[in-house]
Amino acid sequence: MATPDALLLERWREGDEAAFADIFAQHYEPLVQLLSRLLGSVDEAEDIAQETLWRLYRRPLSPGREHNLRGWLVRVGMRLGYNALRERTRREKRQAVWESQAKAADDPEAAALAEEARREVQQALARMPFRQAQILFLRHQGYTYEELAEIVGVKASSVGTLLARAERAFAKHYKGDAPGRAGSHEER
Amino acid sequence: MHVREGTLRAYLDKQVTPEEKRQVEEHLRTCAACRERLARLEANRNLAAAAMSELQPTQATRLPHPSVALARFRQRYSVHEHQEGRKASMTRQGALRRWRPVWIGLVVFVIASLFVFYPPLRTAASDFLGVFRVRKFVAVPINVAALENPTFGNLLQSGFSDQFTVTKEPGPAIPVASLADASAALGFAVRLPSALPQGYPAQPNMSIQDEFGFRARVSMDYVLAVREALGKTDVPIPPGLDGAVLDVTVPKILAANYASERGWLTVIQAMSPEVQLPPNLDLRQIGEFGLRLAGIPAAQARAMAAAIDWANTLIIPVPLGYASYQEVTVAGAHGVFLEDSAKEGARHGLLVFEKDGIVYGLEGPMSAQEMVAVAESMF
Repeated sequence: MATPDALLLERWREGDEAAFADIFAQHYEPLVQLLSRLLGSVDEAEDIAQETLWRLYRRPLSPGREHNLRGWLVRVGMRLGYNALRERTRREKRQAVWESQAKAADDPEAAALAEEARREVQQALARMPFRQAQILFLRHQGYTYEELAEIVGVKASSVGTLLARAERAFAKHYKGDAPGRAGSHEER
Repeated sequence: MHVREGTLRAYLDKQVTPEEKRQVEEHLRTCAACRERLARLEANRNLAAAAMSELQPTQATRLPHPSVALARFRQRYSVHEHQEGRKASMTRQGALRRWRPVWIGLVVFVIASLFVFYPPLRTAASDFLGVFRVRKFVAVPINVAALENPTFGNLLQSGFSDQFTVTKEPGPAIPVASLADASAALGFAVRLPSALPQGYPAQPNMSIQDEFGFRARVSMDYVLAVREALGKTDVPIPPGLDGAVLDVTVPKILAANYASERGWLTVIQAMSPEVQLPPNLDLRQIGEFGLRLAGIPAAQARAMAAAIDWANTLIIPVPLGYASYQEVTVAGAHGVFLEDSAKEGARHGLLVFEKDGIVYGLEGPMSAQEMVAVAESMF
């Protein structure tokens, strides 16, 4: 049973640029939204969404893989986004200064706190193996077990196990970040 | 018998069947230990959920209209040039880009095909005694039916790069004008074909792809997932694999591109890539494991693994039905010619061989005979 994605991909493999434009139009924005949550920056999310679609452009998925274009895009985009996150975390650690993206906000103090809270979550994610960070993040963005199974590449029945493991690792890294803090930001 | 952790976790998310739900609840009524486990899982979940809700983008920027985004995309990646190149088989840049994953892919495959890899930089050189260098190529036919399994495909795609870190980020490819410049940059005497089929220019466009390196760490989770996805849970996992770290260095590669209406011919050459391995890794066992995962029966895999010199041989997996291969001799050196039979229209061949410490590759729309003749004219 052909899905619209599959048809578009087939036409794209044959060199139909309009088909690629359709793929782009359908998938670009959701991907940017997902990635901007991970990265906290729409600009950066756009960069990565573009790079993801460029990979598809250069090398259209082969027949038999197109049953889930969205899954492929999420997987590749998450991979790139996660690398960017790690790279940034490393850089921040080196410089020990954080360029706050929140400078321009109306309430600088609240924005700085929000920024700090987000950065801690991102750092914890960046310290986890990619597959764990991916499943954790996507689940909490509302992806179903079936979708996660497809994206991560496991049986749906294994998702619970992976998720439990990922959440345990996250708790460790997140709390380990600031000893004594039980994950509640009100305490600070 | 207690409830599996995964089931408990799924139960929290109401992702169990009514029957499972009933069983879980029945068990929980009488098992304090499982109630405690469930509470811990729930606490972790709630912590993660609260943390994830911190992840909101700061900027309230409106996204550009898709057509604007697409225009930017086209400009950024010079899509139109790419498109023309695509018609003539591929662009110069395309050819270079294609090579990188091929190198990484092929080199890593040796160690046991499909394992995942990872982080930090800087090698404590003393940890690594074994060194792998490509001296020989051996094609191994792979039955693709197993590989077409989407679970495995996803694993390969996500997991393959999952655990590796770039240790030497390559700079941009640099064009070179002359053979002498190219030789100076690569550190050996570069060779170009002296005889080309009709329609190819005498002078190629040459560029050098920068050196790059990565470190990979094998994760048992991933090995297990791959094994399961391939339905090969009966194949034992060789010792020493979990957490094994390998450092791969791919030296500068010269790519000479010849444009023609028939399609690009690309000639690449480089010193043999180098892989540093943990000293205790038994390559033969791991090779055998890789062969078995690839669907080769136990006895045959054992015999093949014993016959291959794993420290110097790059295994090229050839998907049956999609590509064919033959062994060839180029100026006295042993090589492998692969032909992409999946591609409609123009034929697409790849010839790889090693001679005197240098690895050569030729890629283009040619038959084995034609390509070997081109390769021989280099010596």
